[in-house]
Amino acid sequence: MEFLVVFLVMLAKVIFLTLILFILPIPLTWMERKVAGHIQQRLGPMRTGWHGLLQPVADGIKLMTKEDIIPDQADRLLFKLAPLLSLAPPFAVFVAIPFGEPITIFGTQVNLYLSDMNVGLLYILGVGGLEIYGVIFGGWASNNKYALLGSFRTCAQLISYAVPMGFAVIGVIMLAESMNLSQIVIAQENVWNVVLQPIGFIVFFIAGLAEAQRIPFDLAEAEGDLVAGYHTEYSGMRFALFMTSEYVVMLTISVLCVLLFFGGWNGIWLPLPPVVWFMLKVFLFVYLIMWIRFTFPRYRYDQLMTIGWKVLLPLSLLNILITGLFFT
Amino acid sequence: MNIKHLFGWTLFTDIKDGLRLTLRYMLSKGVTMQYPDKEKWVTYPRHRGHPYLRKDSQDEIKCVGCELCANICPSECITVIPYEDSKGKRRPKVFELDSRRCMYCGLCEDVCPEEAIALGSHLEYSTYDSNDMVLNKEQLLNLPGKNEQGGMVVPAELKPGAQVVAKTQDSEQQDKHQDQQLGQTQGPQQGKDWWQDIRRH
Repeated sequence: MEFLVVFLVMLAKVIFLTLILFILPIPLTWMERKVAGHIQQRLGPMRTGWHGLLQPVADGIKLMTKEDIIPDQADRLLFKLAPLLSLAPPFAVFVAIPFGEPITIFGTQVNLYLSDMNVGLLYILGVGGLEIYGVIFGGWASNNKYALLGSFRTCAQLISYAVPMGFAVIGVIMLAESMNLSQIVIAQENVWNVVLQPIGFIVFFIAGLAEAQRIPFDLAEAEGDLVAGYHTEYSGMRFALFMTSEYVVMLTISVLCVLLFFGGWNGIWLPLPPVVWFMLKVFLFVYLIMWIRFTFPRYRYDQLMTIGWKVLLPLSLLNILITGLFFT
Repeated sequence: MNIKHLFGWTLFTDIKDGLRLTLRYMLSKGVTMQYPDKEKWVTYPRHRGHPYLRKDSQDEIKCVGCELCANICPSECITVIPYEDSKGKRRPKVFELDSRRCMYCGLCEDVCPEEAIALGSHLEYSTYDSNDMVLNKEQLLNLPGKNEQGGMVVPAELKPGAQVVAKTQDSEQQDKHQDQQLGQTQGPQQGKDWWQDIRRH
């Protein structure tokens, strides 16, 4: 009986989280278009609904009613599998993420995470590496040599930026003496990690931007230059799933930056509930990522690989050295 | 490479400058004119729109049917047939202007000795039937004239029949008389040449 209650609470949390993660990219696309418009001195969508709020609905209807084209000699199973493979790992990452301190609903105390793993950070980095499979499958199954080459480049980019991302969090683990994300946030109660580890934060943020394939690292999709890299041949709802996975990865990076470097749900001088602080900080990071997108040009591929291996990796090792010498 | 420049580079000054510029653009007003359902552009007085016929102070048509405009028109779009009216004056019996042929050069306005025909500010006259674009004397007398002061964006609304009508302050003063006054700008800080105030650099 006790087991049933626990199981039902867990099931409710899983359903709630999955629903939120599916629905959240919809207002994020609206926000992106409005931010893009205002940065470019124009207005963004204004006609569909009040100030364009129904524009994502119109986009959704368009994507769902588009013809589903599968290229002639393409590998049908892999072609249909690739968007799902690209969508599943970002959702799996959110299993280990805590959203705030435990709250009480109807008398029972509910923890705001799905799983309190002691190796939470390692799990996140590992599952995050699975996002590469969707890229590989998409490029191969399209039966298009340019999509294949695009997927090679994307794959190399993702692998080579996962390395400094992993090294940048070692400093955080050293300071908190644990890989448990709740512990890391609790260890930042007095001073946020970004103050103690600025280099680590910068390396993690830039590597995260590259993992999410946002500008200035979005050479593979390069809307406007190439056709679209590994998701060239996808149309309609399959393409929508690729785009959803891109937004969820961007959310993942923002959430990780907030949890690891910016104090998680610890707030300053405003007595808001911890969940609200957390969401506010994540929103600011998402806004910062969109702001960066419309400010900078994108990197050429050799510049991109140079930055990944020759700049970020030595910096992350330097960060580990400094943290080990001075802070522990 | 001087040291100060390199030091600034490690502290991301170039990135910070780029982000500050886009922040300023983000907080400034957009230059989009939301035509046709919310805003309308008021043309300058010198704008060469659709030709219109003028009346004098006794509410009598000024045109004397001299056919100078018909002869000078390069597109041969004006047809004038004069007659003698009840007061013994020379007036046009038929004055037809074919908008499909008119190229808005303004030669008819330049040559008219009575200042009876001029190029006004009428802009939105698309129709479904192209024969509707051949206008007779009565229709030409009712067209809007030149604006008194142009070069601004005013709030407007889209009426049926594809007419974008500017919302003026007192609603009786619509496009009734020619040489109209649309100068009151109730649009949000959008006066004459309003785009000059948008911050650029």
